[in-house]
Amino acid sequence: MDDTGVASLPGTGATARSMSARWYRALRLVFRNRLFAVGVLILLPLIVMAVGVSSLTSYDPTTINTSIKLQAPSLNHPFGTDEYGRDLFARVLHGSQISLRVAAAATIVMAVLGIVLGCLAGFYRVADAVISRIGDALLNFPGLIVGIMVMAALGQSERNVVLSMVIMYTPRIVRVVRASVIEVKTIDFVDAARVIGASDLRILASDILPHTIAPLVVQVTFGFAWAILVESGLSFLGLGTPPPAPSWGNIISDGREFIRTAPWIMVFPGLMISLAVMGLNLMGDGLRDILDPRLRNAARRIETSVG
Amino acid sequence: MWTYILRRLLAFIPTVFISVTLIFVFTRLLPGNPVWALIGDQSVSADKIDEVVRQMGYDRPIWVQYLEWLPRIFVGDFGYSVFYKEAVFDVIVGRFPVTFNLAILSLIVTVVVAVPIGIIAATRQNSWIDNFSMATTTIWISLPSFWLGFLFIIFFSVVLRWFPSSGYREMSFGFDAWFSRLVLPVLSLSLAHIALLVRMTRSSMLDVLGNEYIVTARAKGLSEHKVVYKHALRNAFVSIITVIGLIFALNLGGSIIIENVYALPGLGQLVATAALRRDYAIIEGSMLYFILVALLVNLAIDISYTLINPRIRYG
Repeated sequence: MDDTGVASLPGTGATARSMSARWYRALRLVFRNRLFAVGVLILLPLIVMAVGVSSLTSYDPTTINTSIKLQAPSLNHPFGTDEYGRDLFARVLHGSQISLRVAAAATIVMAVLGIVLGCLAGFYRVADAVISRIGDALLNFPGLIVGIMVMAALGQSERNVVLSMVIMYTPRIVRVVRASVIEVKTIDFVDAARVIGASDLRILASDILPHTIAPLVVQVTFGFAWAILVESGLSFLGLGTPPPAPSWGNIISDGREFIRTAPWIMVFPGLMISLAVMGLNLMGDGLRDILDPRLRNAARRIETSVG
Repeated sequence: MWTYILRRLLAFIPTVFISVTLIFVFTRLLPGNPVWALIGDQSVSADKIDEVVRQMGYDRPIWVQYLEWLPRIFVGDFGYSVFYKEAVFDVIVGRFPVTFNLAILSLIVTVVVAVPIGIIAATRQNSWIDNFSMATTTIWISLPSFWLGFLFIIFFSVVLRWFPSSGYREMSFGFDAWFSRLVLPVLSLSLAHIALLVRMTRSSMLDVLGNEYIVTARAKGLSEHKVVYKHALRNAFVSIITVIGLIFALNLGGSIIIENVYALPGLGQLVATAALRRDYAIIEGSMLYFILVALLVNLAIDISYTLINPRIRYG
């Protein structure tokens, strides 16, 4: 197996043509991994549905029509209707937009923050003392309790859900980035860069950062899966995305009163969550096998579980 | 060995200190502070607000508040809940047995099921048990536990009528009443963790089985049984026990959600209700309690290493 996929990180002034050839080779390498390919196959339809929701259903997810309330799945309403007669197919599809958007926003913010703090912690001892201590303390709190606290203090909104997820998960990304910064900074080329007078910032950006990308990408993929689970968990507790926005967790939460009479309300959104999370977990496993073969054990999987 | 344990105990102090301080920072420095939570939606005059602030001592410098708060929590004085009209510590202690039962039972089920499967998967690679467990672990850790809980209620309570769908009975009501109400919660909490522990056990067994001393043990004619259970397992157990400690912490965290699915009156339900009502005293107290239990478990795990693996004693 060639390793050009790993080496072909963008940069180094290649021509447009050889760049696209590199990307093509990288893609082929990545998709040759079965786990990754299956993960993409599971996730892609969900994203397509979230993006193209308006062409897939003409029902509005919040329109109330009590004359058709609590109907079982039928041709007209493939996922049935809820206690207000809202079409659940429309709600679940719109929900995928909300849930994926919130999770993606959180993932992006924690990735950026994780890189910055991870580089600082890995590069400067003083920063490390502060960042890692606080990060470890945050990670010691069981389950969603930190997120619950933040949501209780700040109130329910999409932004606050993102914020509480960032507080809970960023320390894990920091750990991963920090570990690879520490590993790389002892290698000779960093000393060489310093000898020719490169600044800390330049060393970090051009010599160290590229080496943190592989573990970062893996951890961020698991972080995305984690964020989807956490969004649904917080919403289920009534501390997530504010209703009546049909996030997946909110729909399940709506359905709990009707668990005996209308179980379909909660079955479909739960399936969507499971599929999205499974797709991302498989992609993460695949990426880890491709990018980071040394870390093929299950240890870091434990960190993606919400419990 | 004793120096090691002493060193762990000393390292434990700053950890507790930082975590506890973090809780103070969260509850005092985030916007929506406890005063507003108390006042709620009532329209009150600025004087009244000042009065509440003074009564609660929030007008003093933050470090004075901190210095007064810190020693109190170590003697179990977590404040008073206006919602429960009771000391926070008493409310929490009354609720903890439910959460503890759930977490411990779940842990036992997880270990009893997962460790043997993991060992078999490692010793018989590519057997059906190995393939099946590896193929399904990703599924189990991807299901939201609360959704799984509801599916169990639909299937086992509503359709089959095997178990009650919610509530809690103490053991004094009889073993059956207690046990039947915990079966589904424990099951919903355990499945994902079983998957994790199977993977962990399998990979650490495989690591150990690849060592040269295992080849030696086989070469000198020990039975496969002795090689696996006496030589390999004992060493693999060092990493397995870390995961077991982690799983106990995951169970505590997971109980927050599961207790709300099955209406179990434990700490998790307490926290969620308190968060909805913005009952800061209870939230703060529960966070303290959760973190102290989690940290103590970590400490116990660290110390138990020395008992399993003598090499760490001087490490």
